[in-house]
Amino acid sequence: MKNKGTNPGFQSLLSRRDFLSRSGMGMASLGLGTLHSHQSHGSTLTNPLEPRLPHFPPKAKRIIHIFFNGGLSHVDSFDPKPELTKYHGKKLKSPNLVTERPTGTGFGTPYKFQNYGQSGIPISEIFAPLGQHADDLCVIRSMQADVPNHEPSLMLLNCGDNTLSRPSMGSWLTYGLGSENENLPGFIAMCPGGHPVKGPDNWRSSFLPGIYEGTYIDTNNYKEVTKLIHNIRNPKYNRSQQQRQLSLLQSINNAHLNKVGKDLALEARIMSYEQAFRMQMEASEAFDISKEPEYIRERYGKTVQSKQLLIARRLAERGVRFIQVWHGKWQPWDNHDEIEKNHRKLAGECAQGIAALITDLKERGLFEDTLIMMGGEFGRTPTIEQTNKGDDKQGRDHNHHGFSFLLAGGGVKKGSTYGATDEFGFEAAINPMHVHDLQATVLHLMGLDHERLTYRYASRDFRLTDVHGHVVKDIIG
Amino acid sequence: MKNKNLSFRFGLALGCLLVFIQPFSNVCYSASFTDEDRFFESKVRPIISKNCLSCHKGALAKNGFRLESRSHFFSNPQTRINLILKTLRPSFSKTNLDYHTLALSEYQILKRWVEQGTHWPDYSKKEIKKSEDTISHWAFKPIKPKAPPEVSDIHWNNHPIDRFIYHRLATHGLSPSKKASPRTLIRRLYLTVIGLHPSSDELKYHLKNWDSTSFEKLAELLMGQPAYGEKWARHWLDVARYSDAKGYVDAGEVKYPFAYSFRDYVINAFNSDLSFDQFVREQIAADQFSTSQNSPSLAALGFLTVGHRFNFFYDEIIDDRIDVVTRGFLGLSASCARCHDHKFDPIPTTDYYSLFGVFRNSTEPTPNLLPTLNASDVKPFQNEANNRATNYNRFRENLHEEITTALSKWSGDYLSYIVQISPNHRTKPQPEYITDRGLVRIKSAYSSGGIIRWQKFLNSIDENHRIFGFWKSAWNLPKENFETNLSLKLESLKSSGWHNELVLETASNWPDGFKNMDIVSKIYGKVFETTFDKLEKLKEGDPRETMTGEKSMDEILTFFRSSSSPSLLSLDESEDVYLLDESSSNRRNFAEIERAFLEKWQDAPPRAMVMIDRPENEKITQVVYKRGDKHLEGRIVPNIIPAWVSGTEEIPIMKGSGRKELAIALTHPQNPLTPRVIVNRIWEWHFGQGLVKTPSDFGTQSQLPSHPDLLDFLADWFIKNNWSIKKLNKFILTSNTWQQSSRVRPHNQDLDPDNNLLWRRSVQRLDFEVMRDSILKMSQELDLQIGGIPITQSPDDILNKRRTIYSFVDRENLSDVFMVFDFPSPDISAPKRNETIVPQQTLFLLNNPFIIHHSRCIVDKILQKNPKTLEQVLSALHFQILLRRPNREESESLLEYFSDINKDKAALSKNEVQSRLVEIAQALIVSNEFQFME
Repeated sequence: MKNKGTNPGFQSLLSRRDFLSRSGMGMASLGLGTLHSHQSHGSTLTNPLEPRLPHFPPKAKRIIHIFFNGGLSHVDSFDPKPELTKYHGKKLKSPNLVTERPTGTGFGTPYKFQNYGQSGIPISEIFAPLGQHADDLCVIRSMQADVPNHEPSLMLLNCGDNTLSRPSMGSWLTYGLGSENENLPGFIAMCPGGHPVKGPDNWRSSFLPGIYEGTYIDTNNYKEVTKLIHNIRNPKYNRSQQQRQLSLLQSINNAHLNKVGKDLALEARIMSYEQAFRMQMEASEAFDISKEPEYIRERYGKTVQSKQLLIARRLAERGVRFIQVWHGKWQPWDNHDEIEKNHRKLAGECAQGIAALITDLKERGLFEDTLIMMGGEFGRTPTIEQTNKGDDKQGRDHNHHGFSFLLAGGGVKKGSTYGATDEFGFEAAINPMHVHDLQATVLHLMGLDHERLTYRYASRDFRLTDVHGHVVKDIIG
Repeated sequence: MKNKNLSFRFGLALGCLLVFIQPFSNVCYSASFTDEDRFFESKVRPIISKNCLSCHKGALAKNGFRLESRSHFFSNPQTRINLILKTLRPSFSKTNLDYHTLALSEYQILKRWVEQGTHWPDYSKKEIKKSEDTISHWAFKPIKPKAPPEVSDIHWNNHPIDRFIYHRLATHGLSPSKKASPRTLIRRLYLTVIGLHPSSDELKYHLKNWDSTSFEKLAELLMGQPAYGEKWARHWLDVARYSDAKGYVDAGEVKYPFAYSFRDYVINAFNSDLSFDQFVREQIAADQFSTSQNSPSLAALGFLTVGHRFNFFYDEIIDDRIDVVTRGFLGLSASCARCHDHKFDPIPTTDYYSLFGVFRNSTEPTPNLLPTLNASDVKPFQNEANNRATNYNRFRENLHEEITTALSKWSGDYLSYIVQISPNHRTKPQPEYITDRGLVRIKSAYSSGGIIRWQKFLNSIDENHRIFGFWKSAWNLPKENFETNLSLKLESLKSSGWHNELVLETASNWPDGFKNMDIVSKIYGKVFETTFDKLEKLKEGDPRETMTGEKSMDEILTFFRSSSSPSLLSLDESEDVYLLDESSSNRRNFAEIERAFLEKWQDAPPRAMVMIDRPENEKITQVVYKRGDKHLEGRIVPNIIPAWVSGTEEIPIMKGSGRKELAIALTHPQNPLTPRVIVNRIWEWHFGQGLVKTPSDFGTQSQLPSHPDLLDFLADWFIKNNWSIKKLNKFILTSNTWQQSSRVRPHNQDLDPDNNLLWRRSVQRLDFEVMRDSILKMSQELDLQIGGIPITQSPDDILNKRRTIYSFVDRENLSDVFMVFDFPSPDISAPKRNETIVPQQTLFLLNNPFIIHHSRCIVDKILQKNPKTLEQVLSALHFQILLRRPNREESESLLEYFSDINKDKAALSKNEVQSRLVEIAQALIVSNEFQFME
């Protein structure tokens, strides 16, 4: 059997022996005392999640991506535009750029901004809890995507291409780096209540092996671990029954292995039983936030968004490589109408939790090597959305010409802003940063060269950034 | 940024109109390209093409500055200097030259390019693989079978396959393995041929009289069972990226009502041993070869139509079809040639678009018009579906009419918009796209808009156009002294008597004079509205009226009905101009037709998901889309099937879409790729790895086959045996190579750990389907019904008892068990399955109720026979699952499982024993001996 999933460019971070002892499997318990004598064939070891060395020393080891799905309005959150307020209700002096739907006059933000910290980064009142961490944030204000539509922009941000089936960033990262905890999936996507738009396409592995696909978790069900990870618990047997069964199984397997000879695939399966057994415990534990002290839970807040942020922290602690936290089903941030009310409500649901997450990671010494990404698939127009007949609505249309993205931890430049939109916030004007540039930079922070992290498929080497992307060194601390 | 200058934003160049186009970026440059090259190709060149080439190209280039190629750019030093000046000093360009306006982001890219020294890659110096290399590439050469070599071992000197394999092994100091035991061979045959584990009774029966002829007889027996097709069809469905759903759609129906008719066609094709060349032809063009309107072979066309729908972006759908055909049958990835000539294989972009034209000229009928494959009571569905189709079509026709009206009678709005986006003539900071009549149709995610149609038309005419000559004259005037110059021009046009009188008259009588070009658009707007109003009035009297009777008005009406008119567009083409809401409504209406069948899916007779050719008079002339962007039209592509498809020569398309010619080319007797690719796939489906390790890639970048002579021998043998897959299967099965033992021999393992030379049979993990179906068979729960609508219960639902191939394959939300067990993504044609071994698989085996339920069924069935002792039960269980009795040690260890409970039979709690038996049954099922094939 061939291991078609490994990437020959990487060296095994750990020897097989380390791998075994790390996962708590003594040689004796497996009856594989002679296994290490086969290390000459170690290159074909069939564990695709084995940790692998990056290309160069990484700044960040894991990522938490907080997804404002639907599109966060940057001029209402992290990119204040006083000039826009002056043009409230008036035609802008420059043309409205083309977006999905017609838009009309300028629409100044209904919220107040305040400068925070020594860096003086301005943050809108709806995200006020983040103010305490202003000096740790890196606000990119000049993001650009390609089109003003959700589906392609989600695909671009997650998978690097607007339309074609390509692996998602989390899949690329687990493919490139493996997982630091073989008892949990390496890539977990959480969304309460159902899927975001485009559903599992957002965390697909596409042509990468299926094991790199994100594991989706509906955090509305967070109390029942069986609903979080498939087959995580046995419906019938208790622990001692299962142990009894497992030891019988391993004796059958070992007898078989002795008969056939040291076949790597058979050995790998034997190991995977021990692994699965441990995973059952660890996964339940990881998602059980009742294990957290009261003050921690209070720090995060009561919303489902804050609960999943707390779970995200627990997963980060346990070495999950890529954790994606979606705000909610479909696209809650897509406020074409009543944006004032809705954005306030949505930010209210998550801002406290995000602040708590940062505090928490700092307290645990995890902040420095955890990269937090916050943003949506695009921003929103500074102009008011209109109907096809030209009547004003009380919202903003999609805007891919310029929007904001927040980074924190993981080696980014602290208390900084990068790039700028024009005076109204319509288009990236200074240092535009395309989504591919963000991806290249994020991979860089994880110790990976986006041009070298490739997978051969259909006769060419594919990568997350296709043929694009530049590492933006200016946002690295 | 030093030169931040918002004036750049004012230049709403054409680029801003095109913003909705999916920028297609699947560029696949080779490693020999530098970063600078890439930057130029991916960022700079598109800007130049889009913004500059309309004026700065060809012999008549403005000011003699030409930008179409590297040599032009550098041959006139002033060109480069000018570009640099303009880029670095925008104010200079603004005051002294025409407006050269770019989007801000484009400006920044150009600036960076200039600052870095205007690097323009020189391809004449690049070492790109040229055609000489590709001509000598093994896969493109004709198949030349060599006689199998003589080998020293008499047992390995009979079967041609064995002779090739032995020969290679011997040259590497390796020897083949001995034949596997009859038990192992019987199990291997069952699992390989029908994908089902043999029952213990079957095994006993076959072993009883096992002799030298038994193997072949059993192979034939199994290949005659319907289960054979169910096993082998699944292999092909991986290649065909089969799914019962369309993938993400933002409005409309996700399920395909009839994808399963293709799945059933494939099962039947394998069972009836349809010759592979015929199989290929039917999947490409069954409609062209079959004479009957309800021929079952029409379902084959599902190969083209069950792919991903990419939220209905037609160029992506076509790209997927080209991909599945070229990689699936030829092992070549033509998709690379979508944006540029293939860098390694001999596939130029024009060829890609020739194929693109083939699929663009093939259409899909609405579901109610799909041919039924089974004549049983069609009527109730037909009527309902027809009614819904009528709604759908009426909606589309109304929209089409609306769009036609907007583009003709109200074209003044479009002309005005074009004026407002022209750098020279615009009068307002931004164009008005909301008019009294609603939106000018540029403003939607799905529309490339009427603007582009009008622009194209206006670019194609000159001042002699009878209706638009006045427009063109005005357009060509500078902004300075516009009014004076245009008045003079108008006089001269009038005196010539050539141009449309109504246009000139309306212009002459325009109250405020011609202050600017926008007025000219209003003049035209008025002319067209007056004309159409007049006609409508007349129609109130007589609806048959087509002309007004006034010469200049009728000239205008005639123009709008002529083929050059921007408003003349087919029903299909008008779809390109739909607004977002209109597109969604259309999809919903279409979904209603599909739901006429889905609502009573069980009873709806199957239909074939066919393609048909566009009528000859509606045929679309395909052009190259530069860099894959459909709005950058290049030259017209030849109406041919390229030579690399047939392997010999290009085949002209005489009539129709060309699918027929494509089918003929793919199965051309001299085609070297089609037979090589399929025999390699079949080899891979047997051995877990092909002779060529990349089954869908035989291009110049692929590795050499491990056994080139064997591959050619098999390909030739296959053709000579009428492309019969059953015969080829039997040929492979009866070789010693196939029947080798799996035992690891350390010497060989050290020399060839990956078993590339086939010194043993590799141990193979059972595919998910084979594993699941075998468990169902063992527990005697398997429902053997063949074909039909997909089972929507997940494969691990205990209520789902059908073979796995009948489970609903949801492209967007693939069942979790499928994912975990390496079922390939149905988004794209899968070359082969990944084989991973991960704890999630183990979790499934240990904990899933499906496994536990069926373990219990197996135990129950054994207990029903009232065995006398626990030993007997355990032995029966062991035999049933692992197909052998436990040896003494194993027996003991199984009995050991009960050691902590009282062995006294009377005291034995029946439930406790039973539940432990279930635990044991499960352990045997999930053990490696069962989960892998030796």
